[in-house]
Amino acid sequence: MVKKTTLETMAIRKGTILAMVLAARVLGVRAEEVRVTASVDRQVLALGERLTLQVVVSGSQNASAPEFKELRGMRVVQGPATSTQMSIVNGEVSSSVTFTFVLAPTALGEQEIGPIEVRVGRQVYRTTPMKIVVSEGSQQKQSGGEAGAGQAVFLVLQADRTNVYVNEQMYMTVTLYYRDVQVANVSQPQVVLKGFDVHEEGYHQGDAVVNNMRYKFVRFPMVVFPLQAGRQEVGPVRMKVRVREPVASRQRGFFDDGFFGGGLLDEFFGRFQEVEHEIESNTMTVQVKALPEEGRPAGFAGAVGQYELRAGVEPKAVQAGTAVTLTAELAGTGNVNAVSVTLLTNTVELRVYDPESRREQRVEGTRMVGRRRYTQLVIPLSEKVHEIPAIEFVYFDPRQERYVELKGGPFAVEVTAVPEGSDVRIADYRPVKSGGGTVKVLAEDILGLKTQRSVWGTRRALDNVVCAAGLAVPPMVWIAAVVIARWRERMRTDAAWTRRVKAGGRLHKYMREARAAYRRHDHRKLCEAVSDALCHYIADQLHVNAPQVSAMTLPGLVEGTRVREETVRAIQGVLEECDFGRFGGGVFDAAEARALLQHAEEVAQRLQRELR
Amino acid sequence: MMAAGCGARPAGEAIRAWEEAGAAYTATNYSKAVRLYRKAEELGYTPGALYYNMGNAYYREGKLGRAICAYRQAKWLLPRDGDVAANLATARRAAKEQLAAREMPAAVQAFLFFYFHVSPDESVWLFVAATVVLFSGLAVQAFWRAGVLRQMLVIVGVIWGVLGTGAGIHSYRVLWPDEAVVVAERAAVRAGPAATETVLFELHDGAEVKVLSREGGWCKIVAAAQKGWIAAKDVSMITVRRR
Repeated sequence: MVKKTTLETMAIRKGTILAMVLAARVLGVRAEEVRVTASVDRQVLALGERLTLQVVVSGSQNASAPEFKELRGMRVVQGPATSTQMSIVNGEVSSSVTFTFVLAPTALGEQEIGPIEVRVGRQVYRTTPMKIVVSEGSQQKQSGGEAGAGQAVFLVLQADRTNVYVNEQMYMTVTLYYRDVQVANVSQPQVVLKGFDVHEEGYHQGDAVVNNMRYKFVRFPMVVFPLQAGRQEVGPVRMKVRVREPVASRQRGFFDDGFFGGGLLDEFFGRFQEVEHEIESNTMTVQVKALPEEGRPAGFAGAVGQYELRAGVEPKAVQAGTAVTLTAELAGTGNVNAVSVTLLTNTVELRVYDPESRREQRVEGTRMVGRRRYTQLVIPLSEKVHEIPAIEFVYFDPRQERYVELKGGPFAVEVTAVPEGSDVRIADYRPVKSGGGTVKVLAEDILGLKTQRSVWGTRRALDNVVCAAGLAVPPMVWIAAVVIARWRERMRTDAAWTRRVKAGGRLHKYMREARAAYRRHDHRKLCEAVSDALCHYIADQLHVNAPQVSAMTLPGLVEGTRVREETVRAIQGVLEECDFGRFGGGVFDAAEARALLQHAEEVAQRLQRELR
Repeated sequence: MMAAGCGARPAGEAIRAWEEAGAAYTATNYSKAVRLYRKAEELGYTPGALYYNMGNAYYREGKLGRAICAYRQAKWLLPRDGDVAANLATARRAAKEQLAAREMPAAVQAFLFFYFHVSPDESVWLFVAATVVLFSGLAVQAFWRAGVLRQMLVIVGVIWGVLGTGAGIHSYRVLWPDEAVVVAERAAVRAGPAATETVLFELHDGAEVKVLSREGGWCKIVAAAQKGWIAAKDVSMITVRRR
């Protein structure tokens, strides 16, 4: 049953690959060239340990099994196990077959694997031999140190050249190589290159074989321009790398053995910790040559590279005092941001304005390229002007090792005189006669003092209280207006709420009337006012009609509110006393009236607390 | 309101210094003129005209960097003044390095078209005025919900937003200035903040730079896309004095 399943799986895989190949042929995608590489997972191991050798044939899947031409001090324990891969990315077919062997050392000392031969069609490919050191003790994984010597993580600083001229561009890379570890986070390398103008250009990732071992890498390219002549020490470049490592001090359990795949469980249960390592690259020496003195033109301003200059003038026929536009474009390879074309300057017959310039710079492949565009207004002041002078740019070409002078122009222009009686004015210039008219010119100097004293303007707006108030008060007014408008709206639409809001005010009004009646010895009025105060307050709070409130109905009305029983009884007492005074013909003396008023005020206060 | 808010009247002593500085300038005693303009500034008299005149005095003294710095300060306060623009251009032409001033992206310039034509003070006062109009309108709308008023408030709201952005940028640049002018005849720009660091390049009196950070007596600057450290005493920050 198992065998059948395996055969079915193989058939499906073959079918898939065949379909991809057919699809690739139909779509006309391009195939890559054949390459054979061999790599081992370690270069130093002990007797009794094993290493894994991988032979990767990329660009073809019709490769014969690898054949060892030399295998000294080692023996094949297992393999070859074969795996194939195929992908189509952007129309490029990428196919490879990998042969994996497990080798075991049979002798101590330096041993050699290979060369290994692989036959693809009629062509035989051969790998370079690999040296392996077999020792007696167990080897530990290392990181840092000398680049490429089998470490798990290392940093390499490289340059496309180490002998350059001042301001000549170099392409440098800082590459982080790692294998057998998971790199969780890579920070941008700290590239402090003294005496160099550095332009960093992002990063890219990939796989590479270093010293016959397969590594992943992250590469940080940059274009640098040396600024000083002499022997310059570059590096080391430092970088912080966060590496995921298994937590060392833990109890290993039943599920951590090889059968259950301890690593998989570690991964699943997060038994890894991230450890930050600071690693540093190798150093290198760059010999920076000074630019030659011999043959250096007067207009040279330090530009190094390869450049082209294009320039033109429009229009070519104008009247004196009218501007023509000079345009120039400098394009090429080099530090375009740091160079400039010598444009025109004022002369007796030409008024020249400050140029406008635009620039763009980018890295193409391994070279910094860019262009700089200039626009300059030039006004011929006289009909005697027949040409706009040439503009110049001088640079040193490190390939040819000589200075190159570029010129744009001179440009022929036809300038007509200003008509008789006309008066053309140009700012900041001297007067020049042109035909019958005049071009008015002011001297190139600063304008005079301002003598008018400013009455205001001695305190900045940011420090001004009126300004702060102007920013703070309007929003507060707006918020207040919104609150008031909403209050009014509710008063208009929500009768129950409105009565509740006004209840307190009415209570106080009636109690004031009661106190006034007491002072007048009008005890009947006192009873009326006290009764009204309590009944209206309760009616307003409960949104019922005031006549509905009486000593008899009170318990039913306040049921379910926070009014306590003793308060209810006290109100009933006051209301009954008032009814007695109003309707029962009762007569109070002054002491009884005062007692009634005090009792009523006390009850009113309790009522306000309990019924809101 | 604009006039009323612009601040207190200058003190008599500051006005005397301003007038004496003008007299010293006319008598070609430029160093005395600079000293008196500085005194007027210390006493709190800081209109744009003061910085303009100070720039003239520095220019006549041959201190190009100081002159450009003063003209830049004057331009902040008098952005539409032709005399300031002309003298600044003349001083810049005389500088050895005519480094392009930092410019905002075109889209931002189009959005904040007014930004380049008003001073920081004017910008803030315009924003205050817009705030008063907008919130007054909103307060009225709380009681009177008319469609016309609503449409007007939308327009005023947009204007308020634009003015607020402009005032914010202006205020930010007043509170945290990051532009400076080289005032030393020759200033070395080094790879690090120390006199022992490698000299990367040199700048001269009048070069305008952007200051990225400060450390001790050193400023990290960028000039024509090149970065480095320059002694703080060799540059003068372009900032308007506040009280």
